[in-house]
Amino acid sequence: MIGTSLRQKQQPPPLDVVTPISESESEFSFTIARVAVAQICQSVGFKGAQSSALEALTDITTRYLEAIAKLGAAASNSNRRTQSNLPDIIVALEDLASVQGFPGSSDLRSHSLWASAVIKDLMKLVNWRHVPSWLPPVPVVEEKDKEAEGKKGEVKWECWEEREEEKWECGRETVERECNNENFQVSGKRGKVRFRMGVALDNQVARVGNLRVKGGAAAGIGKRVW
Amino acid sequence: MNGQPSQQQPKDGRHDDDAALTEFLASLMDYTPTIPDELVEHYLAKSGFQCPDVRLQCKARQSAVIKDKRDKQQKDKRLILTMEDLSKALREYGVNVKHQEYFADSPSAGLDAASREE
Repeated sequence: MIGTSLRQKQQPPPLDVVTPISESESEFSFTIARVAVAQICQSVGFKGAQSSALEALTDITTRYLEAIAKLGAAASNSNRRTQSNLPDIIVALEDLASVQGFPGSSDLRSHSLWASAVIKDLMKLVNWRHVPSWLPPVPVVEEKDKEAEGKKGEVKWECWEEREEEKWECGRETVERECNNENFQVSGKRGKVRFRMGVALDNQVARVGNLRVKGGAAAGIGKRVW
Repeated sequence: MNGQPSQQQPKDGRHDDDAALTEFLASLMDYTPTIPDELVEHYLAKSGFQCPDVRLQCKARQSAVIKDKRDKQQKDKRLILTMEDLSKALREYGVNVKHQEYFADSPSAGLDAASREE
């Protein structure tokens, strides 16, 4: 699972590299963070890592989290609040992203924070697509094979509601493909028809979505009335 | 008084963004980021951040790490995270990571490293 450097020919790679007892609380959390970072590496496609590189990346991870926290707290404190809320976080993320730059950073916060490119990037990363509510649901039929990209990258579904669970796994590849294709707009009300209550997938444990059920019935999940 | 007819048009766009963000946040409840919540809470508490829920941070953190990794170059078939690639990718983000190339404990140390550009 995690290994320091898989180039070495060792016999059974230890499940958990970290055997020494952590001496302090910060070491303990650092160790856990290293595990998480290694898992993220693996999910992106890395097969191994130099231990120094992994340590450096973990260090950056913890510092980044702390930076988000500090900036978010500072943003809320600047507005006479002690509890941070979502705009504070967005402001913090924009500050952090301003080093590398993102579209819209020239007139920062002169218009809506919700339209910030930082958030849009996050949404893209989660493979989440928003369908405006005024679009009618388009029933489309999906094909299983990957080379059937069709016209303008339009992917088709079939019986989306019934085969939810297995579609979720193979839907990942198609979703990634679609997200790369910017022309793709209409997709049907995919985000709202999801029934993931109590379903545990193999490698992605879904949270029991009880919290979402009480927001609305089957038709209205995720849709709030302002 | 404040008629502001010019605000009508961007208001629709903003409402759409707002709705998009709302739904996105609702959908975040299902998404389990790799970084555990407790870990994120620990680091946030350490920095004085108070918030009832922390979903967006884990996601932001994970996305930053992923973006960073995607910048790595692909040297051979098996992708291994190395310090050189890491430092090159981090330089774009303004983080300067310098890794010592060799330890000068013998006269021949570092001769190979000096020949390649770092």
